Amino acid sequence: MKVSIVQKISLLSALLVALTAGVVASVFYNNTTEVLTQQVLFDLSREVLEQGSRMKSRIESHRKDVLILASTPHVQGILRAQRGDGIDALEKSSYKQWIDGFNNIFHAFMKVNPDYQQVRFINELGQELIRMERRGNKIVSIEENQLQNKNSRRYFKETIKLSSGAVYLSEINLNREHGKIVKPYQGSLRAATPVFDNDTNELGGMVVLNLDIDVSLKRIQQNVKSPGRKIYITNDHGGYLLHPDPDRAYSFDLGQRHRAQEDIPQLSKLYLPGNTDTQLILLPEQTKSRDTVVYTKTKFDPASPERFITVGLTQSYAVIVAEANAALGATLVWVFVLIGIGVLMSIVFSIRMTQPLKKMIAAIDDIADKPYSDVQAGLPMDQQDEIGLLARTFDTMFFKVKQSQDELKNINEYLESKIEERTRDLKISESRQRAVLETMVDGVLVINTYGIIRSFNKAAEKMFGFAAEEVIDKNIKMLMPEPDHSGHDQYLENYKQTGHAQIIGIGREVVARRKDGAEFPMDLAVTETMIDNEVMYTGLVRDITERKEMENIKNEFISTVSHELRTPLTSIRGSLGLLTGGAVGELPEQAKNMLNIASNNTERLLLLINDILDIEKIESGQIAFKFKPVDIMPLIKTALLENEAYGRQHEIEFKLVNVLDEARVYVDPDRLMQVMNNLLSNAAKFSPQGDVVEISISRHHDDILRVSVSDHGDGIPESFHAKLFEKFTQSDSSDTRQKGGTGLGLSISKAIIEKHGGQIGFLSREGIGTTMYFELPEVVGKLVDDIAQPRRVSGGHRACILILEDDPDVAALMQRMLAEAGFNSDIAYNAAQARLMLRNETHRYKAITLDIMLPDEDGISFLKAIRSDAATYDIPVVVVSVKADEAKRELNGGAVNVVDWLQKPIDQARLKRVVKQAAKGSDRLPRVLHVEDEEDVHKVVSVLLQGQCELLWTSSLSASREVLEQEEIDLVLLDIALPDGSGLDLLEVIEQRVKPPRVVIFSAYDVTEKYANKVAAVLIKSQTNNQKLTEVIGNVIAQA
Amino acid sequence: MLLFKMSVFIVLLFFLNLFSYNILYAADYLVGVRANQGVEQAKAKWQPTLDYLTKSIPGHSFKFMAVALDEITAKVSRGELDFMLASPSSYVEIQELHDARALVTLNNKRGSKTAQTRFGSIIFTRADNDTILRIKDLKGRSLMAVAKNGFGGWRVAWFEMLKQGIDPFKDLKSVSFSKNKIQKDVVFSVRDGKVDAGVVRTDRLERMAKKGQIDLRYFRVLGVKDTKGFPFFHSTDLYPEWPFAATKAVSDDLANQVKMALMAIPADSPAAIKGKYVGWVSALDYSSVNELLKRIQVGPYINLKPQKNSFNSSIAVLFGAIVVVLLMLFLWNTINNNNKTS
Repeated sequence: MKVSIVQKISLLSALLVALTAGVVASVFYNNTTEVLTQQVLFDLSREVLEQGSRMKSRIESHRKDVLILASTPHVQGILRAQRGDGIDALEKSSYKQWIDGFNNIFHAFMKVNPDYQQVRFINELGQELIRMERRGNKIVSIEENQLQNKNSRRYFKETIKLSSGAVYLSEINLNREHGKIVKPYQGSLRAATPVFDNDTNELGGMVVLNLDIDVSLKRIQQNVKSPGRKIYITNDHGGYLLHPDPDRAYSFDLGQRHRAQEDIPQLSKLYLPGNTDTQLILLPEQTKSRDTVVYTKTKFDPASPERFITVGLTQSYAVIVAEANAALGATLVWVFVLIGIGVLMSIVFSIRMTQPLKKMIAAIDDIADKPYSDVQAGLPMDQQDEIGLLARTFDTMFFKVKQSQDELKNINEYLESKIEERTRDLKISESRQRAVLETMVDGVLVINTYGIIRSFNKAAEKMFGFAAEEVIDKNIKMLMPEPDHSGHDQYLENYKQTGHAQIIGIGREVVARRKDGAEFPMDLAVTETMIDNEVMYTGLVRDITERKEMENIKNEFISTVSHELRTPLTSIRGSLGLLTGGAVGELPEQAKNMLNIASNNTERLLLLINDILDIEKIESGQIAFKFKPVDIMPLIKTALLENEAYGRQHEIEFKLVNVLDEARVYVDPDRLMQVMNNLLSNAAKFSPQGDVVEISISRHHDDILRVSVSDHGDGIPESFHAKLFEKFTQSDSSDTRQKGGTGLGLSISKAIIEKHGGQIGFLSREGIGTTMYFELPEVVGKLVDDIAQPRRVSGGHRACILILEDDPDVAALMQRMLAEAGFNSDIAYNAAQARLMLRNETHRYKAITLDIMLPDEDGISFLKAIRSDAATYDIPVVVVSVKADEAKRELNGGAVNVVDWLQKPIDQARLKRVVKQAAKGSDRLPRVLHVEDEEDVHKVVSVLLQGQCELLWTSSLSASREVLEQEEIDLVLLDIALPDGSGLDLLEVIEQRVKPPRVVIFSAYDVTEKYANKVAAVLIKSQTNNQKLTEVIGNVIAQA
Repeated sequence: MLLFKMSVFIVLLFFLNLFSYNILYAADYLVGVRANQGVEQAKAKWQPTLDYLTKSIPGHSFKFMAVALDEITAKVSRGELDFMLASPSSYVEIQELHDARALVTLNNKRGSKTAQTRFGSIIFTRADNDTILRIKDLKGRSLMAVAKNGFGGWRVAWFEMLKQGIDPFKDLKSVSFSKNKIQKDVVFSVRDGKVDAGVVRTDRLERMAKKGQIDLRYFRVLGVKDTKGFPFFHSTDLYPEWPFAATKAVSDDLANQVKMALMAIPADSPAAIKGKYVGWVSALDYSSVNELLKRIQVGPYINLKPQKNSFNSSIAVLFGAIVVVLLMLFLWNTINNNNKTS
């Protein structure tokens, strides 16, 4: 809101005047009302006392009057006449004369005192003798026959108790006749005094005088005339005798409840019996009606000082302050007049003050467009007050400003020309860069740290199908499918906080999403750059859909080839093996030679195929490495042992020259063995006869282990060094035939070692020899795998052993040992528990290990007990006990069919062997189902397994399923590629069998780990020779 | 022949059944009478009235059954009562819950001179108590009433306090009740200074004063009202006296007969004298009692939520929110304008 100075000043002065006047008026008003209230209070107090004493004096004269009446001679005359049978002997008058005379006195008395209502003379028995009363304006003497007896009335009873000269004052209440209240209502006070016979001093009767107290009350009410002032008179119970509302007076006598206590609550204290307070004053703020109230007690009966009436006066506050209000009204008028004057004055003053300011404003307005002289002329510089000073100061300032303005103009012009120049340069450079960016084949995207796209080149547009303007300023995750789509913001956040990069600075293959939603693989390389003080990430992307497709085709080809080649080769090799092994009888020497040639070349072909597949798989990551921590020394020693025969063939000796005990590596032992075999066989092949190949293991850089194999052969020609690890290379290609080998060995080794995070290398000098070595990181400390509990094999797969052993530690140890041997086991800690388990799980346990010392029963008696039970009599038992020998002696051997007696501490190997033997169970020939679609392979297998088992053969998935469901099979030899589906589907069927047979997969395909874990063994066709096949199957059958 | 005998027998049985039904069920009517001063006293007081009814409606017998304050509703709900004579709040409860209807209202004899068809409560303190001058002054003070479920002895006063802006159970220091539900206890407790204030039924103080049990000067009645024709102190509005009500089991015809019979009772009949009443008038409007119970949430309205208030408050909140939003818009606009101009 814009408020000018003039407005401000006038508003302020108006406020000031109003405030001053308001404060003064309110102080004045408050003081005035207080003074007025005090004044009224004083008035009321005075008047209350005055009216009270008026009432009091009226009652006082009432008392006196009754005493005067009682002392007239007529009273004694009447008494004497009564005594003298109607004649007063003293005064010579008759009773009648005295009565008449007294009547006349009463009449005269009432005439003089108009507020007396009734006067009576009553004899000592309560009989009215004279009764004079006022009816309207007339004073009437009641006829004798209408006179009543009043001896039951309270005033009679009270009065006859009094002595001479004492007066009884009744309550002030409504006049009654025959006990009933008379209408019109009339408040009355009765005074009575007893009379005594002067001669006999006996009670002669009483004079009763009724006062119409309303006359006095009305008079008092009329006296109080001030406006807003009201008078109340109450009896000593708070009941009203006088009230501005006539209905409330005497309401206590009419059955209604109106008390001063309820109208003015503070009053109730005044009426409390025994309270000696005589006055109550209430200020307006203390009462509901805002009245000033003064109540005073007035005692009126000297005979009983506790009796009183109260006189109360109230003055309404409105009346009290009426004057003050009028004065306030007048003050307010003056306040407004003053405000008006104040505003007027302030307007005049402020206009005068602001005029020179306005002049200055006009002069300064548009200062830039005006010549200096014009400005100077407009300034009121000659004024001799603060404004003049301001004008002069401004003049000086303006001069200086003009000066510096000119200087700035010059500088500005110079700068502008410079900027133009620079801008031109920048434009050229930018368009050059843009051209490069736009014509690039690779897509380029720039994002900021929040993932918002800042730049998007033509190639990227083409790749993603988005136009640049559609994606710029949007989050890059729109170009990603799940899970990266939701995860990307988090990646960036992680990188910012931890520096742990997913892609930045690394580059990798990712899946991206086009505008149409299609996903495609791409190569992504991201670099972090600082642009304009902001961290930006530049992504270089290349669509690799085609490359991927090519790779897929290649992989598919290789896999197909391998299967198609391997399967027939398996048959060929098997047949050849059988032939050369003499399965069909002795062959002629010529044929034998030919068969050997065929056999050798089959082997070579298989080797080649397997190597090719191996390297493909390693490189493409299809092979699953089974890493675990192992000690390297035993591994190396085994390798030497395995290759010893090969060495001997080449008349070479392998020698371990440097050993490192307690060195551990985290490797797949089979794969590492493959590397060792390769290196050792290479060394053997290329060493001169009779040479020694040295193998050494050393540690360097604290945690790198190097295994090296050194020969003293011809060495590798310098020119061949670079190509050594390439595929299908041998330094002298003629060697291939001479030395054998596929030329793939080193490539495979290199791939394997690199997968282990190590590296492979060599040192060679022609004529001196070659040292091939590989390095692996050493494992320090324990690895998680090392301490893992033995895997609990899911129930039903293997024979289950019941361990009966009271020591939990020993039991756990045994369970672990047995698990390593492939047995699942349950533990019973006492004989009772064992019995329960045997009963519930009939025929489940294949063997029992038994401790002789059990907490609840002797092991021997337990043994005897299970032998006598039909369900358990044939379960083999192995006694494992510290007392084994004694027990054995005691039982004298075989009586209870104990397989073996083991002495604690337990010999692990022996335990395993014995349990295996015990669990083998039945004597019948194992049944083996061979699932194989190639009849040739089956034939070879059937010859191989002849006599060892009962062999069934199916060639399709459906047939196999049927057989598995109907026959009891101990072992399944499973091919995966079947004409009507994957043999792996059978695993499910097999698992659902009551007693699932064990499974050996025998296929041209490798099996993923998921399935490999489910089966007993996996054999790859063409990698498996006859001997291995029979061995594995034999073992598995033995375990089943 | 046998068949004929059988059918005669069955017909006879049928008639016998009807007959006995009439004798047993049509003639006996139970009248529940609230016995707040003991069963003996209640029976002495009301039996003559029931006898009168039995006599004046031939073929019907009206039996007395004393019921305690808290079992009336249960008895009516079980259909154990046909008529009932109880306080207005008991009546309203069974009227609301069980469709009872008031036939006549008691014209109660009060003192020697007047009869009243209405009553209320007195709220009073000691006369020398300087701090409790109005009902509002009861805040933070202790109060004693006759009984928690009493109508004139508590609920009417409760309602009055609510109307004057005091919730006795929140704003008062304590609210206690007479152990034996006796009005005298309350009066004496106030007199003896055990509690700051008391609540009793109208005319109770006056009656005790008349008997000389107390001196009225020692008490001050709070918030006295002035009702034409009602001669007793009262701090509250007045409500209709006890009704004679019929439950829904009673036919309109019979109800009407009972009503006429009761209204015909003259003041000098034994029934009226024993019952300490002057007569019966056509049932007054009990909706004021209904309103009262609703407001103090007792009896049939025990779980009544003051919905209106919550509605009002939610409207107030809404309104407040709108005002705040408008203010903010205005401020924002002003600031924007200022920015633009500057």
